[in-house]
Amino acid sequence: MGLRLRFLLPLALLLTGILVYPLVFAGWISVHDYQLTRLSDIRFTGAENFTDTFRNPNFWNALGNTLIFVLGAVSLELVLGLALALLVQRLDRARHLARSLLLAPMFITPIAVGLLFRFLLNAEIGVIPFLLRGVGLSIDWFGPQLALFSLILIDTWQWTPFMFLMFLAGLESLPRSPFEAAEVDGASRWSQFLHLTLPLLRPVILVALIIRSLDAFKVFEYVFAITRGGPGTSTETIQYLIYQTGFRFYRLGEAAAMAFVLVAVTLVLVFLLYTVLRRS
Amino acid sequence: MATTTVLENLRKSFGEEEVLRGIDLRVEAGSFTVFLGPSGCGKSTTLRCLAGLEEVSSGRIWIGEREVTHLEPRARDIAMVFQNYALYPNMSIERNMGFGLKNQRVPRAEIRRRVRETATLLGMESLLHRFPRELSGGQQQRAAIGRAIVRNPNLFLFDEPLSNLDAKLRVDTRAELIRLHRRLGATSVYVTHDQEEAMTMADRIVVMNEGRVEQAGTPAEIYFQPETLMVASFVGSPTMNFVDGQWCGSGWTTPFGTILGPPEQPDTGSVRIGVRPDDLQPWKDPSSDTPALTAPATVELVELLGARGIVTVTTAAGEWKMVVEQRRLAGLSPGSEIRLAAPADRLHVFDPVSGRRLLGAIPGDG
Repeated sequence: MGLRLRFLLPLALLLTGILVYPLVFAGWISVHDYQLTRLSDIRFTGAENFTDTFRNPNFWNALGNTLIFVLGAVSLELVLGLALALLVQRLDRARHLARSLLLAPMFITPIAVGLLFRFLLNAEIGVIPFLLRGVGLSIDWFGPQLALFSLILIDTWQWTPFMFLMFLAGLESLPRSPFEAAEVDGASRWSQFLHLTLPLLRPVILVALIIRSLDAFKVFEYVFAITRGGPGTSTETIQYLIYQTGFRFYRLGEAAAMAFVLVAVTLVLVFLLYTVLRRS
Repeated sequence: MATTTVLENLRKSFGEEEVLRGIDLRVEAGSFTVFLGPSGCGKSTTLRCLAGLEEVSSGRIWIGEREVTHLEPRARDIAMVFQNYALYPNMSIERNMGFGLKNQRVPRAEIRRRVRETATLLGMESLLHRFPRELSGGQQQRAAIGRAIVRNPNLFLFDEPLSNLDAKLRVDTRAELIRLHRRLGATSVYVTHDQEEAMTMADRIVVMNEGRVEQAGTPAEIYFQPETLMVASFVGSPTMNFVDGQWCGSGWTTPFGTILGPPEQPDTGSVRIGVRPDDLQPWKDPSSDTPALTAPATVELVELLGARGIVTVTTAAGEWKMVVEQRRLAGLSPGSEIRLAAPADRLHVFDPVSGRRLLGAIPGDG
């Protein structure tokens, strides 16, 4: 074996062990009736798990919830993150302090954030509903209408800082002189934002959107810590459904099939996002 | 439309550091005025104050009848060309040039017409659909100039627009800018540290140093009658030669002997005398009238430039340079002992303490 191949070997073995093997195994169980409770009776079922997934209304409900969650959370984070970055860029002295403070939510583990908001927003003992009652507002944050929206707000609270960080770095790396030229050229602040800042920031926006969307698709902790998919199935997201199917009902074959469908959906969305934003 | 621009006791500080220490200046309508000075002299800051990109600390700025001291850049009706072009990278050249007009809400068809007209004037119609990154440095700067012209502003500001171009392109663009200026007749203020640019382009040069105006005048005045030691030593290449002297009744005593003063000259005390390298010649004919300045020297180095050569010599006052025509270079080789000479009307006499001019060469004379 050549020296080059021998150097590659450890990494190749490692990747095979932690990446290729699970992937192949998941592929294998996705075409079998593979249940942890009946490991003695594993039968090849072909595409049955996939057709079941497509026929499963819970799957479509969960996919819909996830899409609403991703769309809602990521667009809120984009708008707020950009607004904050533009504001903080204007600051002179307080800039570094503002930057550190605004980043804080990102450093909390998501499950803790979930628990935190579970208490903060609890209808009986939560401090936020208590304060809102003081001004005459009675909002059931985790009721059937609002639960998914509340999860979106929690995600926005935690991950707007990421967008903010990306956009602030992007803004700070933009060349100064075209903006000076635009000022002399009579462009208002709004016109500068629309015709210079946004187009020049486009690559950063693209990357931030992709990273955040992929991440938001994986939403699990908030659901697990707060609503467990409820009320009913109104906050059941795709990752939570997969978790339920695989690890609570032990139907791993079906869960694997759902996971592959999710991967396909995600890839299509990333591709779409990329083509839309790249076209200029 | 050409407009007179006036700066009145302009001051600007960045924190503790005062970069403009009271600039008073009048830029005549339709003139091409060049701010010249070493880096850090405040010339770019002055221009940026004029543009409104820097807030002044005190003083006032007038463009035409209007005081613009505290107006935003967009309210000043000016156009600026930047050193690094500063084109909008996300817009085609056509949109770059039309952006200012669009901000003034000029109708689309009118923008199109004026952009095409300007592009034709600059010979760059074929580049209109391109993006800045697809253009060479020279083409980008041309586009930036076009973007300034198309607005037809009261005042053009140029911030070292040629310093990123290579030497040949710089000379070509220089000539083109002058032609454009003659044609458009707009008031222009141009910042450069390149004295050749200043000498060839300017109607009027403003030499700046340490946040002050050292001298403002025509290129000939600046060159032939520098008002201060700084102007004398900054303008001219190779730089002016200097020797310190003391008044002795008929002239000045210097390390290499007496330099004759003009008749009836009152006591000047200590002076610093400057001679341009072009005005020094080897003195070969002792039988003729004795020049005002003669000095023994040893040739160190001869650099032939073509028609002329720069001769570096060592004198009792240190290293001097002189510019000699090629046919008179014969006999000037390293190590040879010669005598230098300069006529009285080519001497510049300064007060070494204040740096002010006391007497000396007359503009355009001889």
